[in-house]
Parts: sequence; C-alpha cells; structure tokens
Amino acid sequence: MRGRKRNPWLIPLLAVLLPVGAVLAVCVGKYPVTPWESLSVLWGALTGGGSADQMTANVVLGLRVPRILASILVGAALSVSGAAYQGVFQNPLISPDFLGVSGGACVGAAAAILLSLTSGWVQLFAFAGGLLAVGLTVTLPMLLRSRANLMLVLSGIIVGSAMSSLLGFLKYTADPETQLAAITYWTMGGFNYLALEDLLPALPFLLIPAVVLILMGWRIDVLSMGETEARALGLPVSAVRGTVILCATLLTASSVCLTGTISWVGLTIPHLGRMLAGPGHTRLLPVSALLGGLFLLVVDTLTRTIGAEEMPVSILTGLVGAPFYGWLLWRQRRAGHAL
Amino acid sequence: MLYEIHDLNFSYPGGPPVLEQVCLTLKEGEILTVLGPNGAGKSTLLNCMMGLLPTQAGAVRLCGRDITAMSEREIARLAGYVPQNHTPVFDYSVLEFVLMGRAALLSPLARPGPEDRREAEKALEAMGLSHLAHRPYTDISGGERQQATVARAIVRHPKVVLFDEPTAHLDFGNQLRVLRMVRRLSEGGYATVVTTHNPDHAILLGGTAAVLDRQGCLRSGPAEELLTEELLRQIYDTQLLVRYSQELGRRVCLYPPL
Amino acid sequence: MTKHNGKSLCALLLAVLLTLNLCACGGQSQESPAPTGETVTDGAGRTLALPEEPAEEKIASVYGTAVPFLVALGLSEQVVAVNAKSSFWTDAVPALDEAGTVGRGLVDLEAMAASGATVLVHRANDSETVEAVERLGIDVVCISGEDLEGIYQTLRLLGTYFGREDRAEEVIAWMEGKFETIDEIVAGIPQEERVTVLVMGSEPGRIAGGDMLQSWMIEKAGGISVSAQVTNDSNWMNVGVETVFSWDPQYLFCTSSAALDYTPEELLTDPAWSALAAVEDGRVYQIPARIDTWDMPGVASVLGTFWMLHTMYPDAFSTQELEAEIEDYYTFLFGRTFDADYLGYTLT
Repeated sequence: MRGRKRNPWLIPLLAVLLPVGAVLAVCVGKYPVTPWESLSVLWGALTGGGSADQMTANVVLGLRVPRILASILVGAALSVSGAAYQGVFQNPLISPDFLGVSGGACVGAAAAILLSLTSGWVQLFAFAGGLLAVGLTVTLPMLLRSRANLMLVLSGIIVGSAMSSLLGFLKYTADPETQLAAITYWTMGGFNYLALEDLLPALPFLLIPAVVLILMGWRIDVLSMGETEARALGLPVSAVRGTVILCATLLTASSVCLTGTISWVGLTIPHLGRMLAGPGHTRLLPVSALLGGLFLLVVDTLTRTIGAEEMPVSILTGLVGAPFYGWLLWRQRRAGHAL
Repeated sequence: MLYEIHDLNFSYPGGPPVLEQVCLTLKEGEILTVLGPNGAGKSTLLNCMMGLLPTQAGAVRLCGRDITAMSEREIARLAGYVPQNHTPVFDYSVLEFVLMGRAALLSPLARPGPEDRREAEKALEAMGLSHLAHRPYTDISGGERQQATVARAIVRHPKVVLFDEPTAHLDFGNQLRVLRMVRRLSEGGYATVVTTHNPDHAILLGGTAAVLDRQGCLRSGPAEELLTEELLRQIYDTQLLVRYSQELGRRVCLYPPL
Repeated sequence: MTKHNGKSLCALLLAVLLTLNLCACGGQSQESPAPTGETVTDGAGRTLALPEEPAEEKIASVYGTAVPFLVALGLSEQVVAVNAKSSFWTDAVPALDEAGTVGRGLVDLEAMAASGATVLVHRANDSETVEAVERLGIDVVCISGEDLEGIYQTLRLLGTYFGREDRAEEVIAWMEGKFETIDEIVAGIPQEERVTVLVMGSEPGRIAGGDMLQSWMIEKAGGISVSAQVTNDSNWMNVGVETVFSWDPQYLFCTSSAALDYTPEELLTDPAWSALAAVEDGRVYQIPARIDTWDMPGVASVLGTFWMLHTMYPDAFSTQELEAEIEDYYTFLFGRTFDADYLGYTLT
C-alpha cells in the first residue's frame, strides 16, 4: 500500500457536517412541526423572541435540543476516550469501559434507584461509582507492585466482573414492578428524559478532558510504542498514562452517568477514524470526536423517529455497530493492514 | 567519561543474581560489544544502563550523574535505545515513527515542529530510508524496520546508542550491514554498546569487549586481547577456535570442525 | 497544520455547543405556578389543580393498572394513548382500540406531545417520568393503592379530577354492595370449615404477603391467609419453596397479574410437591382470567373475591351464583358479557 494521503479536508468537512446534522436533527421528530417552525423557534430563543406556541417550544427546545447536544457530546466523549485507551494500551480491541467504568456506574445508579433517590442523585451516584471502579482497577496492580499494562487490563476484567455480580445482586433485591425496570432502562442507555439541567453539570467533564487528550495526542503516539520503548524515548510514562486514564475515565464516567451504557461507539469509531485519518493521535482524536458525535446523533435521531416505541440507544448502536465493526475488520484485513 | 558503572548488582524479584558487582566504563565515541551465553543478562545490563530497571546496589553514572536521579527525559537525551523486537500495532508512517525519537527534546505539551521534521528526514537519509518515509512502518521488511528504529534512536543526537542484539534475526548480509552501520555511527561521534552472540563481531568491530558469564560477573578489555580461546571456552562451555588471519589482518573467531 | 486543525476544531465545536445551549436556555423559562382554586391530592401526595374543562382533557397512560379505572369511570373516549396490560381492554373497549401508544414503561415524550394528551395518569413512585412530563407542560396524575381503601381512593381521585364524581361513587357503592354480600355469605360459614390459602406469584416460592391485595381478598372470602404475618411493603416476596411447604396451605392460588414461569398442572404432577395438602387434594388453581385479571387492584377484585369464595366454599356459593356475579360485573362495566373461553377461565 502506498503512503497514505492525508486529506486536509477531513476535519473541516466533519466539523461542518456536525452542526448541519444537528440542525437537521432539530427539524425531525414525532411531534408534527415543520422544519421552518423548528428553526424559527431556535432563532427566537437565540434572539429572545419567538411567537411559537408553548408546546412547540417545549418540544424543540426542551426535548430535541438537549438530546441532540447530549448525543453529540457523549458520542464524541466515548470515541475520544476509546481512541486514547486503545493507543495507551496498544490494543485496538479495547473499549472505554474495559477498566470497569460502566460496570461501576451501573452499580452506583442501581444503588441510587433502590434508595428511591431523584434523578440528580442517580447521576451523581453513577459518576462516583464509575470513578470508584476505575480507582479499584488502578489500585490492584499497585498493590501487586506491577506497572505492566497487562496487569491493568486483567485488573479491569476482575473489577468489571465484580461489578456485574454486584449489579446482579442489586437487581435481584429490586422490586420487579418498578425499580428493576428503572435499573434495566438505565443500564440499556438512552436519552429519553434528558433535560438541559441534567446536561449542564456534566458539560465541563465532557469537554475539558477531551481537550486535554487532544492536546496530548502526540504523546499518546509515543506511548503506543509500548511502555519500555516509550520510557527509553524519554516519555514520563507513569505521568502520561495516568493523565490519559484520568481524562478518559472522566469522559466515560460522565457519559455513562448521563445516559447509561452505550456500547460499540468507543470501540468502533476509533477504528473508522484510523481508517480515515491514520493512527497519529493528534488527528485521530479530533476526527474520532467528530465522527462519534455524528454517529450517535444519527443513531439517537433514528431511535426517536422510527418505530412506534423508542428503542434504547444501546440496542441500535449494537445493531449498527457490530456489523459495521465486522466490515471494518474485513476491509483492513483485505488491505493487509496490521490491526 | 560517558558511562561509569560501579559494582552494579541486579536480580529480578525473588530470582538469582543476574548482574554481580559489574564494573564498566564507556568513553565518548567508543564501541563496546557485550558477549555472553543465553540468559546471562546482556539485555538486563542494557536495561539498567538505560535506567529502565531499578538496581539493588551499585551505581550507574551517565555523564557524571547518577542515573537514578535522572528523569526519563534526561536519560533519553543522552542515550538512545534500539530494542531487539518491536511489535508494531498501529500503522504509523516511517517518518512519524522516527519523529517519536524527538520526544525527549520537546517540552511536555509541545508537539514536533519543522525543525524536528528536518532532523527526522536527515536521520532517515543517514539510514538510507528516505524513499520509505511515508510508507506505513508495518509495511516494510524487518530489516528496514530495524533501521528505522535506529534512526529513531539517533534523531535526537544522543551521546550513546545501545543496541540489544541487533544482528539476532538477520541474514548474513544484513548482519554485515548492521555492523557497518555501527562502525559508521561510531565514526560519526556516537558511542555504541552492542550485545551480540557472535564473538567474531566483537573482534570485527574493534573497540572494547565485555563478557558476562552465567554468574553475572563481567570482564572487559580490548576485544582482540580479551577474547582468547580459554575465555571463550569458559563462557560458552565449548571449544571455539581463535586464529589470526593474514589476509584480514586480524584475529578471527571460528567454529571448530563438527 | 495539525495544531491548527485541533485548535480551530475545538473553537468551532465550542461555539456551536454554546449557541445551542443558549437557545435551550432561552426557551425554558416557564415555571409552574402554585395551584390556586380547587385542588386535589393525588396518590403521590402531590397537590393538583383541577382542570377547568375536565371533559376536554385528553388522557394518556403507560401504566397498565390505570386502564381499568379509566374504563370504570367511563373515560375511555378521552383516552388518546394507552398501554393496556392485555388485549382484553382494546378488544372490549373500542375507544381504547383507537388510541395510540406512547411507550411502555418509559414515556416517549415527543410522541406524547404529538398525541395531544393534556394529562398523564401514571404510577406513584416514578418521579423521573413525572418531572420529565411536567417539563413538557403536560399534567400528571399519580395513582397508587394496593388495598381496597386504595382502590376507592383512586376512583375518587380520578372521579374528582375528571369531573366524574357521581360515577365514582356509583362504582364504589356497587363494589361495597358486592362486598357486603360476600360478608353475609362468609358469616354463615362455620369456623371449623375455614381453609388455609396461599397466593403464589410468578415463580414457585414467590408469594403475596399479608399486606397485599390478594391476602386481603382471601380473608374477605372467608379463607385464612397463611402468609398474613409476613409483609414486604406491598410487594411480592421470595420466601422460597421450603417456607411454602412448611405453611402447607390447603388451597394454592396462582396469580394472573404476572406471567407465571410454571403452570398449576406442573405443580400437581411434580413429585416434590406431592406432599403438600393442596396438591394431594388437587386444589391448585390459577385465578382467572387469562386476559382479564381478577386479582389486580381495581374493580375486578370483586370478581376475584367471589371466585375465591366459590372455589373454597362451593356449598356456600354455587357455580350458578358465581356465573351470575360474573355477568353482573361485565354488564355493569362494559354493558355486555364475554364468553368464558374468550376470557380464558373454567369454573369447577
């Protein structure tokens, strides 16, 4: 294969597609409102006017806009953290929750639901649960005095399994009529009841770590050479790896606590990004962010427009993501790439 | 003095001593070849010299400073490392791969700039890889990848380059090329440390030879003088031949009749 | 170039997001004022203002238990979206058949907005849904009530809210009359003849405790509930099969309010269960009916109690009398009767 052409239009193209997609998404939905009306509601809110009726405004600004924002941000966050993890751990097959974030967040959320707490507390518990789980994963190798990547991955598997069992236990004690359903819906992931008030506190955790990771992109390249080589090349491996894990965990934890577990995005999008932009993380991370945001925006818009009943987002990302992933792998094999 | 190693002791946790009271010096521009049987600890010695492994006792001083007091950056600016095996995972281009060697020169948040790129291109030229600059480094031969790794080590102009068994998986012709490359680097001002299985390489390269035995003890001296048949028999547990070749004008190390 | 891309990308992204953020903020300024005038307290303790034109209210629900109440109060025509627990409701009530759906468990908010609903009738312990729907500007009425008092309260609540107080009282009076009849019959059954009963849930070992409607129905029908002393916040309890054996009830009723993962026939033929008094005498029944539930909180609990009375004391309350009550119930609520086959029950 010849040298890869670096298409300088890739990022600007995606950067334009995203807002265009967002605006289109504002115009579609089950509530009958014409695109023109949607846009004028948006414009009205911006300019402080607006003559549309209350329900239309509520639907466009209260239902659609938060969902669109959230799906873009969460899609971007999961993709960036997935790409960063894959680079740091030199393993294109891992997803953002291999350190146990999702498992821990689900346990936190389940606990909050069992305690009949309001949704704000559920989010908080989920966030804390995710961070605690990763903390556990990172501490285990330290107790065993091992700095190897493999140890961390194994630790993640252990903590993830433990979280699964814990979640199973919590589900067992839940009231099947009410709490169990709530837990199940939460773990399946979805943007259904998302309001702007839920999104705002998560905003810094979705934006800042992503920016930090993008700035660290080149260092992730060096880290992807392997710990020993990276150290020999002069990289402060522990510090860089620690920062990447922290940022990626914050991204994943805040995504999960907003919208439950959404699978396949963090695994598949970085692969697509690598196909389009190459493995250099300076480009890969922003490209993944844009692709991920676009992907989840499209999927969420589909879940809320097609079909009589809204499907949990994770089901659709799986239905789309799994075959897509298979296709990506097939393409790469054919082109003779290493994974 | 580039390297001053005093009484270096190392063993893996819970294991027997790998390096026992090792003493070694290395001057600028010097070639040091390290020999020893399988499992003697040659790679371990290199790792200790790079500061990649913590030592139990003794000191490794790099350019006069204790290596344990130096950060990875400081060490990497002085020493380059060419590992024996590198398993590529992602398909960086050869240029991107070599560019990573500049990490030690950049401040924590800076990214490689035009000057770094120029140096990388020069390093590729020096290794004869310019035509492969934009190829994915997964797409080139093993030998070319090794040369790229060397380019990555020298792109920041360290004082010494450590090679871990550079001739290990290469065919005869490529082995020669590697040895020539080491000689060229030495002539260009780099000190080099090369571990090898072949005693003849030590003699061919000239410079200093160091022999590590299974107990972890190191003996060193000028290659031609140190490598006697007696020493080689002790190290490798087999009788090898050391003869003087009129034609080549040097001692050669050969296999005896089968 | 990559440095540039990264930075300009970030700037662009932030700009877009902040813009959309501002839009959303701009539109979300309405707050719900405290209700003045006539109010009613719902099943979640919330104070609700009564609608000015109750007959114009468009009702939506994703809570299956709400449906029988709405039908009993004659509100079917006002229902625009409903998620009925079984096909019975959409079959029996044409108006419900025409209604759409806005979700199952979770409310599809936009679909609800599109349906034109003005009020959601929902269960009491789901504050997330209540908040989300109210944010949309649609009212929510929460209902709860596991026991008879709760049923009456729900009828009165919905009656008051939708301006059907008269009908609510009519239904309550009808129910009270039926329960008085049952009381009279039960009074005539001697103490020695009272039997022990247990109601089992979706799996063996899962039972209705003393604080559930089913236990109340047993006692009302003159039976003795073996699980009276165990309670679980009005929820089903997994006490385990061994506890059921130790209680050894003479009658075993299986609920029809949840999907069973076993059948009464399986219990009757399972050797492990053969020592149970109820199994020995072949007294393991599923509470009717297959598509209408007679042991759910609602008006149908009258029928469930009558059925229990008949099953436990057939001499005191004959098959014919039961059939008469069944006919009366369906006629009262639906203006017609249904086949036993259609509903899915057989009488002994």
